[in-house]
Amino acid sequence: MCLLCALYGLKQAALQWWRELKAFMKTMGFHRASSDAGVFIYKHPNGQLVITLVYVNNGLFLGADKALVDSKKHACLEHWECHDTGDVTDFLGMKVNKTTSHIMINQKAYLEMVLERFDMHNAKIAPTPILSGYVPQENKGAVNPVRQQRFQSVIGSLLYLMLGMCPDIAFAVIKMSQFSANPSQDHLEKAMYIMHYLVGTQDYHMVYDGRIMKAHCTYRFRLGRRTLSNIDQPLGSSQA
Amino acid sequence: MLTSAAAATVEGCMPRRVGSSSKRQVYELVNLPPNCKAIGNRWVLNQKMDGRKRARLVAKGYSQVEGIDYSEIFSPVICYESIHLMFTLVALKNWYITGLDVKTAFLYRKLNEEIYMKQPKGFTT
Repeated sequence: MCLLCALYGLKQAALQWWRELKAFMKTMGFHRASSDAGVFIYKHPNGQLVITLVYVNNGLFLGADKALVDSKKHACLEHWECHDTGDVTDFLGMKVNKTTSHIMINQKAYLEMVLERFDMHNAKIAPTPILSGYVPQENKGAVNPVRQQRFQSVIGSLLYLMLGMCPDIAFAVIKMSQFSANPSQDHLEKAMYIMHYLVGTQDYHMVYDGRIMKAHCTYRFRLGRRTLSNIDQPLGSSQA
Repeated sequence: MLTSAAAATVEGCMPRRVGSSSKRQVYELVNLPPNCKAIGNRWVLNQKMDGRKRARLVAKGYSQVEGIDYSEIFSPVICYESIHLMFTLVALKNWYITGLDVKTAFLYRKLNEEIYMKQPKGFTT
């Protein structure tokens, strides 16, 4: 038989869906953010905004005006066959808990699955993601494919958690990921050490508190290993 | 993973799935033209955490040939930084947030290329 539409498994299926999405969002008056292919913004003539986040077939609609947001969502519901998930409790495997001033996200289900897969669910708790003063040494020996494969899947899972709700492991994960090409036994142990740390923090949530605006942005100018200057500036302030 | 007994009950979903494909006009039954290769397919059976059963027909995309069956395949997705930024905005401004899931999203768009596939097992005519 001859395929007329994309089907799951075809190489171009995901791209074709994204083209479909982009075309329909355009007809609804959304324009795509130039910095991110999954963010669409609609600006109503009265100044109200509707922002849509799309991850393949999952969409989030947000904005101040509930009626306007709902009208845009319903246009999508009519155009495609959809499942209306209503209030957001789940997004990309993250549990989302929203109150009037807070959003809390948690990836415990994913983390538990990862710990189970690497047989770490009963592991001892480590107090930090990386040992203090630890300087990894390059592995000069031959590549061990079994170890390399295991190391890369550990790092892959950790990278995903790092992006989601564990920015605290970012330094350790990125540091260790530099040895993905030829990991030594020591590198693998240190990657597992990050998992030991996560065992102790699995009930932590990432909290967005709308009552305090305390986001900071740090610039650090470095030459070689020396820090030349360090500028710490609260977001939203006007001084340069 | 499914046991064979569970898989047997899942097979009940397949006709519904084939129904949804023909309703959307995903394919057209034709004889394979000479010098063309038909790609294979298989059923992927799955039982969700809540016990619902799903069947999905998946084309064996690995046998597609670049330049003939496809040209461009990179598909952009959202990055996590944007999601965190939007959650921050929602918390700060106490915005309304709501979500949806598009069903069988990949079956909406017409293909630019001409692709032939074998008939799915159990539904040959």
